[in-house]
Amino acid sequence: MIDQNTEQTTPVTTAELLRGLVEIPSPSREEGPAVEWLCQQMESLGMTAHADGAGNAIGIKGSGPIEIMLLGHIDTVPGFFPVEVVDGALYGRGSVDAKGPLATFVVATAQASLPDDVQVRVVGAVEEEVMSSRGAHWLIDNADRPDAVIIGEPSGWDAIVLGYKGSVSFIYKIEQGMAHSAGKEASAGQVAVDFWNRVTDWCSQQNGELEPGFKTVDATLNSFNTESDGLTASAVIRGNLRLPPGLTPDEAIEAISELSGEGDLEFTVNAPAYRCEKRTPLVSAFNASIRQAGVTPRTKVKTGTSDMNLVGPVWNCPMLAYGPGDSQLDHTPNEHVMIDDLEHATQILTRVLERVAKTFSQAKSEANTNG
Amino acid sequence: MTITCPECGAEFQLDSIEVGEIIQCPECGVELEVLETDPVKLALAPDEEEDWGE
Repeated sequence: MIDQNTEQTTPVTTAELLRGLVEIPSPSREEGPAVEWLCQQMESLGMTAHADGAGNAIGIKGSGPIEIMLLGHIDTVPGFFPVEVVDGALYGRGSVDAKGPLATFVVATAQASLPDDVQVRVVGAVEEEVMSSRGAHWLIDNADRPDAVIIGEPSGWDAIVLGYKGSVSFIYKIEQGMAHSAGKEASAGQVAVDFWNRVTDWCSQQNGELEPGFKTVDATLNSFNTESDGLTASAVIRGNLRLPPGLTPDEAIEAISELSGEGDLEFTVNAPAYRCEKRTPLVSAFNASIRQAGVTPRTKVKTGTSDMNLVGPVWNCPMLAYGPGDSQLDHTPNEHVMIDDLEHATQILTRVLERVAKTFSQAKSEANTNG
Repeated sequence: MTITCPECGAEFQLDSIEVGEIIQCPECGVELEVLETDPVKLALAPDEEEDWGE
């Protein structure tokens, strides 16, 4: 049963909505004005909208018990630069990561025709770009588990993302009394380098013959500092481990801890890896809708992290990430998205929402009929 | 319905399929995308790409 809930009071294209959104700077923890503006826009498109307890922008269409959540983020990394359209591309901070996907979510939801028993909830989450991930954590603690989730990140308009690696950060510190450089005792810097070499050796042992990628554990040296006051010398390494599915943060922490020798280690678990199920109504709908646009759908996994890493293990429902834009432009001063890509993605997502909503609605009706 | 794997030729049964669905041949393990259902048309599912970002 399809109702006629598609009326809009303010027709808008995704490019128009995105332009307005990127013109409001919203680095992490300063999302308020952008959230307020987006809520106004969503209301003008016929949705109910509010800011939740974390400050996330929430827009809801429909009121049924079946919920499809479109979880984007409204914060960006710092570095605002003028918004402009050049040769069919919209330039601006967040145009790719991830206001483009978020604007696509809003317009597709406004366009989609939904059964009465389905609601679509658009979330513009706060603080996705920083370690706190406050918006996603608030949803985990306070929102009902959705029936399906689409994460708003730039997959490219003709592709979906089915997994993200995990991430653990660490700080290694060694402090020891000064020794003469001509002596036999290793300097603090040398001890730290030896530790780092043990870390990379451990990664190589774990990875075997695999090329670095989604299935490997990879260490990144973020910084290395040494200092001395004439009596003691110290060395500090800040590093990161990108974790594949199957290697938990606890397992990685245990392994690295055993390599620390005399040094001290502090760990921060950013997120475990998460891999989505491929055989779901969501994936089917995207494949069909992308093919309807005249291209072959692509499937990706990513070596970065997103809010999928946090909500995926908790909600454990059909999930994937989707959005227009080239993620290699994430966080760059050249960040831009093609306006044609925005419109392709919006039409693809509109069809996906309508098909998935109908699938879930029919499945529920059949379940009720069968008792 | 009876499905024929375009990769190995094995025949297997499924209750229902839908366009866009990814199915797996129980014989050779290959993943297949359903392109059409009437008549059934299948293609090898695209390989997963690796990307970075976010």
